[in-house]
Amino acid sequence: MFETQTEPPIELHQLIQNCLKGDRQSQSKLYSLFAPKMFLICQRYCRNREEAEEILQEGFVKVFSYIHQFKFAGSFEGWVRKIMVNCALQKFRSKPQLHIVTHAATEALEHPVNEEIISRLGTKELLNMVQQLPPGYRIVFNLYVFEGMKHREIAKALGITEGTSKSNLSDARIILQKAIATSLIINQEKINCL
Amino acid sequence: MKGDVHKIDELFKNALEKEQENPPSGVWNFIDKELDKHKVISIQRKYDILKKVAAALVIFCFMASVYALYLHNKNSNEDFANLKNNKKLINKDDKSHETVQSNVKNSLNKKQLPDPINTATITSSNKSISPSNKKEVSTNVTVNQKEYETTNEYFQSMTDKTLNRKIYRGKKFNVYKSEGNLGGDDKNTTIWKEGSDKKKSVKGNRTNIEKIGNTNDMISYHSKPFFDAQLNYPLIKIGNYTSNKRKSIVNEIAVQTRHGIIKNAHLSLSVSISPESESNHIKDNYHAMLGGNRDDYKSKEETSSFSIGLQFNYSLNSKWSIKSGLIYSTSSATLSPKKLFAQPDNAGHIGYELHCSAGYSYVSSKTGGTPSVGDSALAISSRNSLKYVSIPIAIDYIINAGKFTIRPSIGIAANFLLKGNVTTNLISNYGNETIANTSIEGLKSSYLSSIIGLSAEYSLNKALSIGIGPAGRFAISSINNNTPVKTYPSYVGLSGTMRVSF
Repeated sequence: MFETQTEPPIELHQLIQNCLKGDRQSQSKLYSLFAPKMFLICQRYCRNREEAEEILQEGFVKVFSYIHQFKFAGSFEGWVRKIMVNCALQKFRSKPQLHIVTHAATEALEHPVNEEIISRLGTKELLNMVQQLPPGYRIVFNLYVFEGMKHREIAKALGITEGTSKSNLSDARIILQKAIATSLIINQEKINCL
Repeated sequence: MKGDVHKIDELFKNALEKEQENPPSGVWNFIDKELDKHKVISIQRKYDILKKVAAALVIFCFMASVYALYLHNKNSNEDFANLKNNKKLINKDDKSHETVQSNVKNSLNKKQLPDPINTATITSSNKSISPSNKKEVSTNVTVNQKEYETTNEYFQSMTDKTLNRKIYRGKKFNVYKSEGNLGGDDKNTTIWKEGSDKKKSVKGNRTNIEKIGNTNDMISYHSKPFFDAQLNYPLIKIGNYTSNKRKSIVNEIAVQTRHGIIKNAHLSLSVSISPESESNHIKDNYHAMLGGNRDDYKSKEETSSFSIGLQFNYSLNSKWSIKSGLIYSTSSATLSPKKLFAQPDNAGHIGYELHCSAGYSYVSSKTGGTPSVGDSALAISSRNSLKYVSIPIAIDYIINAGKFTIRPSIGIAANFLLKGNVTTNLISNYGNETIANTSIEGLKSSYLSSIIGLSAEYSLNKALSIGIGPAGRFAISSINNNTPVKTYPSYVGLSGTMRVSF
């Protein structure tokens, strides 16, 4: 299962000040504070761990390079998160398959999705489902669901139309529903076998 | 369906939003290295920027100084033109004289004028006014104070442009001014110079007074000494100066009254240090009876030289000066390994004969016995050293450009030998030993050389200046005699100079 950060929180303001001076130890502490959360965010945007590590590295290098631009107005975590997301977007903007729209089958789920179902599936499994989405759908799904962006904003960020954004999101949901259903069936069969 | 869709969003969000996972340790290592790389690049960029800024500043300062020099020259030409125009307005009418004053003042409108002179200082420092004239002196000065200051301001504005460029040399004598003119306009201020000729004196204790000009007419001056025994106007001593040129005297007065001291250094002391490279021109001497094979003297040597000098400069005028002093020079040459053969010296003692470009030397082993004639030894390394003290006489041509002075110089020097010796590392039948300070035979006690140099000096203040420039010493006569070769050394180096003017 995933490890969680157990180190007690340090005076963040002072830590950032030290990072501004280029203190490597403070930079290391800041990294260890935010890296676990950011790593998972990167994994949501990427197909695999290796890609997620690349984006995480790139993101933190940018964090420390541009930390002087952080004006202590707002959450530092939010600022770092924004950098990570931008790095992910930058990586995928260079790939042409963003605009690929595959028509997913619009068949209804046999089993309605609810918390009970989700709880039966592990977080890792769910993450895997997101990672298996086509890149364009994955990005739109993440931006809409996790970043709370509107379709207009997503369209502007990705250089696509609002319609494309909406259709990508819709298709992403359908794919995820199917993936959940498939996973549930497999789990049920395993239980039955036992 | 729609509800399910939105539920999917919420359920995925709730499941994955708060989750965390520690990344592999390699991630931080990569970030660490990247940050180091960025640091190096940013420092490099910072220094690149600083270098560019420094270069831009140097260029800017150079351009600014060139422009300032251009303005300086331009303004002096304009003021001389104004002076010529003012001359035409002079007549005996008071009003026209006021016009002259106002014209002078107008020409100075844009210039920053110095503080008015302290006439009390002038009168109190006057030592040569006879007691009977003292009252008249103060009255005249006080009454004419405004006029004096006006004309003085004009001279002061001229001073920097003319005087600072020209440094006059000459005998010192007193300068006086009178507030009246004989046979001329009473409003004029006449400048008088106490000359060196013993001629008829004027009234009072002054002797050899000659009129050199007046403030309204700087261009023309009397060519012959002018004496008037019936001079009724008191002479006020303004000060003393050293110029021989009448035109400059009137200019210099303003400087003296303003500063109290005229920059007219005719004597200066310079200290120079010069690392040099040496080369030798070697000619065969067919008259020498001793010394062995000529080719041995022409073998390659690695040379180095250094000189330090103390010289006095005496300025003849603004353009020329002569200098002399003392220069101490030391040069050394490292000889390549060579085989030495034992030979009898002038006194009959047998030693290993070493040849170098300066002369020859007999190296005797101190640890072993006396070699026989013809015995050989190997000089692994040898180093000869020559020390001279020179007395140069040279002339400098002075080119002034604001605070910079260019001084090309040429002259001749007599070089007197202080020491000429050689240190040898010898391998003989008796072992390996270092034999130091063996004197070099065949060296002359003195030789003549020519000296040339080009120094660019920067004036730090009125008394001190520093300079740098190439300098060379070239032998006119050979340094050795009665040797199979005649050696003419040449030294070329970069000389750093510090000059103190008196």
